[in-house]
Amino acid sequence: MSGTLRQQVVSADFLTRTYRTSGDVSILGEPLLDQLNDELAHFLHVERVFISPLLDPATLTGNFRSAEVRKDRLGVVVLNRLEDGLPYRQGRYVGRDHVERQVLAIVAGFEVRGAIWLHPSVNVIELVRTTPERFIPIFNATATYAMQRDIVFSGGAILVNRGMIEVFAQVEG
Amino acid sequence: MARILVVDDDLNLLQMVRLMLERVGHEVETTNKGAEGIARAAQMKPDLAIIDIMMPDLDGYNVVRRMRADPATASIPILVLTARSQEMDKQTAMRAGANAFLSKPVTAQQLTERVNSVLEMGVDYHVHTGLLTEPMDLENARQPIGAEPLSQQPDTHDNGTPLRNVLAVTSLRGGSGGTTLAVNLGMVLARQGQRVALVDLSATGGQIGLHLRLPTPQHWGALLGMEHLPDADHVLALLTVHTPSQVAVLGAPPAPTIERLSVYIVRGMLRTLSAHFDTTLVDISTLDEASAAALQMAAIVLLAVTDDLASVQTAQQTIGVLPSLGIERERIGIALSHVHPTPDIPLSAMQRALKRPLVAEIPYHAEQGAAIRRGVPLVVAEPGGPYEQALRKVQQALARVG
Repeated sequence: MSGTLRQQVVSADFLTRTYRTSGDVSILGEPLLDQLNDELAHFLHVERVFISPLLDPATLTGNFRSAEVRKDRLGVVVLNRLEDGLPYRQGRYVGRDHVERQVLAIVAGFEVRGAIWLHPSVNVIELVRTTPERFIPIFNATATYAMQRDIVFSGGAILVNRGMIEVFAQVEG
Repeated sequence: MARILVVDDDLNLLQMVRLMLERVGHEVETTNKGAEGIARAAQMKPDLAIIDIMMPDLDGYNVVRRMRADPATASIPILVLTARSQEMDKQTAMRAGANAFLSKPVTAQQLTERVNSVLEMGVDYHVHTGLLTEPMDLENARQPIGAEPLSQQPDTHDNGTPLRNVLAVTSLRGGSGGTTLAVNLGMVLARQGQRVALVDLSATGGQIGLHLRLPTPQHWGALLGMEHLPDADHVLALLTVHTPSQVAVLGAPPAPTIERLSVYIVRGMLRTLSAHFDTTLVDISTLDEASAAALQMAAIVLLAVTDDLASVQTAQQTIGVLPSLGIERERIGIALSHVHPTPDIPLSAMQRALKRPLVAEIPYHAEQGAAIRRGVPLVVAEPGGPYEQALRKVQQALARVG
């Protein structure tokens, strides 16, 4: 037997300004990033749902067999593995010639710091300003909750709701 | 070959973990319910239990805590395997009593390597790495306690498991009678022939010495900043014996201090006292990491409340916070002290607000203030009186719960 335990679902933390919702999303049809960017669906179906208040993020206060998560209310989505945050067309974010851009995004009360890999011809600021997609991935990232800075989420990929970005900057150097 | 119990509500994952572990020669039992997992662990005494956190009937944190609280399962090594893999989740799992932590998804190789490491080290093994799936450094994990600076030491073999003969008396609001309760309860127990240790964990000057008119030239301030766990003799040398009662007092530093005992030192200190005394009472008046560690190690947390609104409000808030520190509500009891001739709020309203059983109700005594001024606890000044009778009920209730 090889590979990981789960290949048909991905586990993620869905963070709003007030709650941490952990659950599993089926990725048989398409990757999570593409599901989040599907404008035809306002909600995301999540299974094995456990919720915690953001100010006490390790305490489990409720659980449900499944739930519908409203995409436009999400701030960030935290994934353990970088590859789980890639879209079906991975070439946008991974490629032999891609260069790393360190970025900071302040979104929904979180300071998200990490990297985006893009072709040298792509300006990351322009990408964030002009892409039609709702969610963009930041890789090898951390999300620090501004209201309580000891609450930090980290993951191979953090998907950021572009519509809730307050500040976005490329970190120089 | 080891006998391994796996507890996870995900049937697919249970099947895959079973196959992975059986392939390398282990004998595997599985269950998809947390409560059943506890029962199976007590029955089969596995060499290792692998516990998921996110389970609907009883979450993994509570499974771990209950296993650690039960002598039948306390010594079983526990590996938490969960998709909730943030540092806060790991810390919560370790505080609950887990020995190691692994995040999903996990490869067969990662799982078997971690299982083998935990089996090799037994219940004393703690993973103390920031990256949950990085390869373990077995060399560092094997270094003896004290070989490296405290800040880098693994969380040793002491994971804060509650001790049956340690009672915490706490009130986070001054004037709620916590110290009075702890001191008088200590006197009652000592009069019954118990060897009693009384610990003043206050960092703002302490009050136990005042209640007993007992100078404490030695105190736990000597343990501040220690890099290595003090041995038993060192801890016992800090005790001052109250000659009339033979209660041994571990006093607080005489002046307020911003320094705090490390969690590591608190746990070691309480384990020493637990081993040398029949009952150790810990008086706690503030909430910080040191006192949280002491609360976690107490079999019972007695919350001192007085019959006024402010005290009840503080108690209510305390009850709300303690579970997040790993102290289950079932361990919390209320001791109500009437400090006014007529109560500020009715008892029924108090009980509705606190939602915890009233372990004892201690009557108003006009001489309570004078007792402190004289340095003679009420139960000593009036043996067998109403105050002592109320405290004996506390003792009986504690014996039932403990």
